[in-house]
Amino acid sequence: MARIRVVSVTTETTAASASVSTSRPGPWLPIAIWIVVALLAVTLVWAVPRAASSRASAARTGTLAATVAARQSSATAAATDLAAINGDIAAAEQGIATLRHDLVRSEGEITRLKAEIGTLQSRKAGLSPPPGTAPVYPVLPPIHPPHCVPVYGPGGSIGLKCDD
Amino acid sequence: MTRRARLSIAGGVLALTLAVLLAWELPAAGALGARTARSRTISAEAASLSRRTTALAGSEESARKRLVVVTAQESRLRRREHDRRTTIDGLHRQIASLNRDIASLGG
Repeated sequence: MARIRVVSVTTETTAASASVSTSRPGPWLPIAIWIVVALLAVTLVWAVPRAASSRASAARTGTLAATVAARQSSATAAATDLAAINGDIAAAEQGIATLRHDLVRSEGEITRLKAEIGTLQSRKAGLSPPPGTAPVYPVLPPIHPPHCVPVYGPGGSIGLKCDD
Repeated sequence: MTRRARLSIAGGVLALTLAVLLAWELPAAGALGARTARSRTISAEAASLSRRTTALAGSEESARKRLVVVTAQESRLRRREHDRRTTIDGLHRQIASLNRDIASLGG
């Protein structure tokens, strides 16, 4: 009788063991799940905000790159304008230098011409009669026909003597 | 459904979520340093260009003012030179007239 009971207990124990081995998870599954949960938490706490910052930084970089390109072209245009203006200034300064040289030369020429005019005016004053007197005309030889000769007296020519 | 199966399904879903999140977010998160550095570099470049543009604008403004001054000076000198030429022409005419007078006086 006692022997039969022992057999029966053994059978139940085996059945219980079998039930546990088929319906309850082993110790690795909860551990794995906890690891995954921990990784997920880390991902959510660390990686997601970091990725959001990274995307915002990339967007900001794109905006800045566009700004930089615009400023670059603006700076290039300003440099070109400045070079053109500096060229104009250099040309104007060259023109000023030439004009200054021409002015010095023309000043000298004016001085020389004024001196020449003074000389000519002195010369003309020496040749002209004094103011208020009748002009002296040059004495021209008398005009007479070819067959006549002048007759001179004490006061010069007194008449013509013509051959008939 | 046994508890093990439920846990397996939950674990699989979590693992899949983690894999998707890692695949989606990890590259962006990893690139944060490089992107921040690039953003800083471009910021510095933009600031430098801004300073350069401002300096160029100032130089251009000053060059324009100088050009106005120099052009006005050139115009003034050109007018003076023109006046001198007119004076010289008048003096030449005066000399010619004096020469004619002297010739008529027999000089």
